[in-house]
Amino acid sequence: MKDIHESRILLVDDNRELCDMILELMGKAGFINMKAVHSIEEAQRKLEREQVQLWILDVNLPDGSGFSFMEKLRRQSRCPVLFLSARDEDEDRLRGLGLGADDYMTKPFLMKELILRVTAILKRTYYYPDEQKERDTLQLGESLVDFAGGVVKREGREISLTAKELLLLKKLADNRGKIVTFDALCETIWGESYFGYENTLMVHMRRLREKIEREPSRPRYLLTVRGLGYKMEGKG
Amino acid sequence: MKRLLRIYRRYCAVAIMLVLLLIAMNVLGFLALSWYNLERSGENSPSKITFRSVSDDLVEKTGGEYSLSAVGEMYLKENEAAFLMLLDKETGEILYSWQLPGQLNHTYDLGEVASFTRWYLDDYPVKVWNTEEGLLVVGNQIDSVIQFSIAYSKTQMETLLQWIPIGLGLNLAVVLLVILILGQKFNRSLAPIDSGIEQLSKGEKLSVQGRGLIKELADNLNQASDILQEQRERINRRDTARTEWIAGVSHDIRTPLSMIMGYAESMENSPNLSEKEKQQILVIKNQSIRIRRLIEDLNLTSKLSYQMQPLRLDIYRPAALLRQVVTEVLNQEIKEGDTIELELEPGLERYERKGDVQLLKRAVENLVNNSMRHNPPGCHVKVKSWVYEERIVISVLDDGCGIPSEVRRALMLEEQLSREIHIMGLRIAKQITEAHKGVFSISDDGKEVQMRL
Repeated sequence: MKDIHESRILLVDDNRELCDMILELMGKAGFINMKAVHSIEEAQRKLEREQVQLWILDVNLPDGSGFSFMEKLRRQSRCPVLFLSARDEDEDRLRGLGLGADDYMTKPFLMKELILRVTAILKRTYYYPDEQKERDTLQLGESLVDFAGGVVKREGREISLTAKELLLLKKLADNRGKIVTFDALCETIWGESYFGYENTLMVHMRRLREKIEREPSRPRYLLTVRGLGYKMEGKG
Repeated sequence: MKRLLRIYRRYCAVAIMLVLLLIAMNVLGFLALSWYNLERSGENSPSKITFRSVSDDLVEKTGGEYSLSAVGEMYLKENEAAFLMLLDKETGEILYSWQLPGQLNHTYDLGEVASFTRWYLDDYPVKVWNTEEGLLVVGNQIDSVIQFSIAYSKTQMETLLQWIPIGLGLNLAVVLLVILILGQKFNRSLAPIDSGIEQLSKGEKLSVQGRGLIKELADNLNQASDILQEQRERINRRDTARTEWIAGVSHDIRTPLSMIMGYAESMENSPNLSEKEKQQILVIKNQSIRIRRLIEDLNLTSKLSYQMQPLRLDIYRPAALLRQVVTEVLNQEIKEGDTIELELEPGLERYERKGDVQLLKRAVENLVNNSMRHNPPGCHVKVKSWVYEERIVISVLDDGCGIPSEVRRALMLEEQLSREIHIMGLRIAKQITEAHKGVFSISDDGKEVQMRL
């Protein structure tokens, strides 16, 4: 597949005006192969005849529920599904995700968010290899972190990273520019019963800084947010 | 059951007291009556002039002639005697007589004397006394006096006297036993009523079975329970209908709102619009987002007020939860100049609690957002938490203007609001706290809100 925007997306929603709007605005955003149907019956026909790459499903449809259609769909294909529903109960959300949906969004929604989520799902599903390469390195100042190799390249030298340090860096990089709490970091490394590891976490962070930062005592990228957690400084 | 036992004990005590009182009253009454009788029969009263003391003086002999003395006349009159006669001790002949009926006017032999001394003389009850002059016989009117003689053996009499206290004691014991047994029986028959009342107060549906007198009570209790049950169901139905209605309305608003938001978003970036128009589009978009938040809150608050929001209970660490909330606030864009600070008691770290993490986060978030939204930029919010008497206290305080007293009253006393005030966020925080059996409070200056969990 050449371009993510050429992915064939099928929207199933009984509100025609809403479908028109989504098609129009997604079209503006570059998704040109998008269609809409308004009932389970039509969706069923599409499922049998067409190769769809992403389903956007409403839950309440005039001739059935999006959940039961999803079950039918899963028996035939592994195609990604995003629920877009007016039902915001936790139960509905959990049911949808439990059925294997890739995402669950509630109405009303921001178009920007829908586009971002659709893009993310498509990338994850169909463009993973490219993404992987892109994600596999991280430039922090003069240090280049190579996740696949588990090393930091800095001033022509290679410094190896431990598994825990890699996990930490990855978690912080995934949330770059945002604070990640001690708890979330500990949980990433030690799993659910992480209580009591806060001091060990500090030790790991100090080592990481020594490997990455030019001045470990005055970090530029791996910042401490007192009382809360750590943050990887945003782009730059 | 304890309550019944108390009633039973009370009943027994009262019954025993009553029996004792009755006995005491009888004794007192008897004594009083005797005393009264003694008092009334003074020295000169006729009945005091007993036969024995006067019998020697009834008849006087003056020169071989017998006659009735003055004392004798008085005695006979007072005692309404029918007749009097004086018999010769040797021969049984009548020496003197007074008003003697004709058929009695004859000589008496020893057998006759022995017989009337003990019993009756021709149906006349008689008193006999051996005087110096002869045998004095005074007869009363027929049927005026019952006369019998008693003879007991000495041992029989002694045993009788011995047995009287024992018999009385036995009687008392039987009475007490009957009281206790009856009480116990009553107690047992009331037990279902008692437990029924207890169930009723817990709001359970009952069907109490009772026999005899208790049956009516039980039936009434069951009826009361049915009425309560029906009322409860009606209220529940109404609450459910209201919650569902709110859920339905908020559901139906979602799709149209999606379109308003979607188009506003796309117009925002349109090159054909003037700056002013873009500004207006931005207002449409932001207000739509606010409506979205409001309908979500409305839905949640209505479910929380009617206990229709199921709690997803998980073990969580309050310290971690608060760090996460504060971090999320910091990771979003906050107003220029606003600051937020987290202060945790070191001991808090090891605490774990059970609760709905999403809802609790929402509650604290609401409090923090409330502080920031209603204060001018430069507001400093502090989230503090500590342990007090095994309860987790979460406090959100700011240096801003404080929550107005009107809002405080509306929230804490559930008073009607006089005008449109946005208290949904605070109310949800309060409801979530209460759903976790916690206490929600606002300080008097309105600057600090506490959740005690």
